[in-house]
Amino acid sequence: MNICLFFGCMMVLPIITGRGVFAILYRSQADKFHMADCLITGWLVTIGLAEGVHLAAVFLGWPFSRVAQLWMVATIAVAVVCGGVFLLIERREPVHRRQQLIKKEITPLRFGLFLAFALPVIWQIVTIVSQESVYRTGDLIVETVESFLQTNAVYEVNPLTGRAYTAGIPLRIRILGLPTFYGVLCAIFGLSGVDLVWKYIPVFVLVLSYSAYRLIAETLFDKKNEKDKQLLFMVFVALIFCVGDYAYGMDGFGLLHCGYQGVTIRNLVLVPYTFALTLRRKWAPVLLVVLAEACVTWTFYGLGASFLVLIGMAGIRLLRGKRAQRQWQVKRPRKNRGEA
Amino acid sequence: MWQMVERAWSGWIQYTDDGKLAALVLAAIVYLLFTIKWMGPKGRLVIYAGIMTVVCICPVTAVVLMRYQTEFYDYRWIWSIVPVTAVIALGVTLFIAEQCKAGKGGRVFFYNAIVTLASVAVLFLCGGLGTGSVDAAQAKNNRAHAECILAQVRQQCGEEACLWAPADILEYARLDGKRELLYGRNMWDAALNAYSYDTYNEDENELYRWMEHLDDWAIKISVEEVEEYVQRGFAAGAECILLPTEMSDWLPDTESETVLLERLKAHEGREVTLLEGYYLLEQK
Repeated sequence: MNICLFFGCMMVLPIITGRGVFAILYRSQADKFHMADCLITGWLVTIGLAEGVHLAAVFLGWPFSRVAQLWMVATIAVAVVCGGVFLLIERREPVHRRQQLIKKEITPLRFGLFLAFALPVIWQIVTIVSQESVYRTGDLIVETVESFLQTNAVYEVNPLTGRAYTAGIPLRIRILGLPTFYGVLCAIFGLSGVDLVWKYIPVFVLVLSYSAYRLIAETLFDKKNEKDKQLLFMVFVALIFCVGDYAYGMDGFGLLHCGYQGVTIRNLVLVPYTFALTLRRKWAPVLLVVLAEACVTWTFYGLGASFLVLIGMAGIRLLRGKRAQRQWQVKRPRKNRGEA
Repeated sequence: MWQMVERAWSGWIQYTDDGKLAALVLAAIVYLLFTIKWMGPKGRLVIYAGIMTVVCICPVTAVVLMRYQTEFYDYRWIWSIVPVTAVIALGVTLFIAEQCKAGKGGRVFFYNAIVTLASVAVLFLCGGLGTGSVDAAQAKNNRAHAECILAQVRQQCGEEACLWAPADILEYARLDGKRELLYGRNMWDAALNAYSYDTYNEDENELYRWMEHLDDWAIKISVEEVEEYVQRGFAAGAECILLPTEMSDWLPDTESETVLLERLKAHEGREVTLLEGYYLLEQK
């Protein structure tokens, strides 16, 4: 029951939140954003709220139970507000909806491609849920989450020994909100740290990752007759995750063995989503991605991988735009250039 | 600076050691640059990927990225900015789409199947044939064994008593966040020391070294030595100690397991219980 509630809430609330965010940013064009956009953006906002309550716990000394309650109230409130904003904007500026449902044609090829995609994904989910191949070297997030829950405080005891810190922890670790995010989910939904961190979060990361790659596929193959190529692209994304399991740091390894880590969330969700946004020239939501990355991985000196991707893609867009403009100026008719 | 450049170069060598997806992304980029139109989303993605791949491979620019991401992360993480998965998937998709023929018929189907299977085979070969690097069976056995022992310790000593035990038991002892340990996983996993400024004193280090060498066939131990270290363990803060029963194999011929147990039990207030493969010592 708790698990169903957890999955239900962590799908529905982020989608509503994401819808509202796009309604605020893009108003009547909000319906051009896919459900996957809403889901991922909603999760980014949720992580941001967890970071906020985490900082309150760290710097104001709030007990963890208060932090969990505050996060729950804030998440529901934000979802309600975002849902309200979306409905309000849609009412005031009704968008033209497609009058006829697009009939999805299921050909044998498409069915085969879907199966070729589904089978590796199912295998990945089974591997993750079995928890047999969790990679724990250099990671202590389960111990940290359980320490928060047991002591009802944030970073009061050393997660590895259960004893009070003698020399403290670096600020760069103290400000990261990911353990608090997992801890509040455990506290609210009554889940154990091991199950949430090793089982359910990686499944969500898998869903969010494929959502981001689905958006990339739709952007790269955006013509009506390229649906099969979109599916084929997703098939090979799934296969690359399967075969990329050979070394720590590869996407496949992260997905299958440490999907809960901040670096995995960054590499599998945040960076692909940044590509999905920048390829569609949607720059504003990328700021949310950059902020979310700061909450889940430490990049104290740098500004994160998503920021670099944003700069790189924006730079290429700028250069392509200037080149296209120069080519147009060279090619335009002489009359328009003011020549006789 | 030169050390950083060497690190970057050796990082690249290691990155391409086990699997060749990095090489496959290079091949995909070259193929796509000659195949696609450079305007549009595909062009932007491929140009970006090409530039960033060169930046990651060239040691000098790789050092800049490594400094940007901070010393906390090593070389492999600079590849986070390269869309490896997306570019490989795009390259393979376009290759298959262009090579496969339209139409019906057995020959067309056979040709298309060959092209597709060949692409999948190349992908598998570059990915180390899909063999994972984590021994799931071993990890499962280790965890099951540790949790069985810890359940027995919980029954005897309660949930929170400070435990000193071999590393393969302590590895899973803090998963519920309740039990205190004499030392944690950062004693043998150096990467975990980055999360805290706390260090272990010489006594704790010595206790760890002694515990992990109890099953060392080259080292003989005496009953006196076992008693000494047990007392040191309790003095350091442990409330219950797990000792592997295997250590009685390394006692000298003049001392037997019976002598060892009698000596351990002789101490006032101490209880010794035999678990599966371990002696559980509890100081009341």
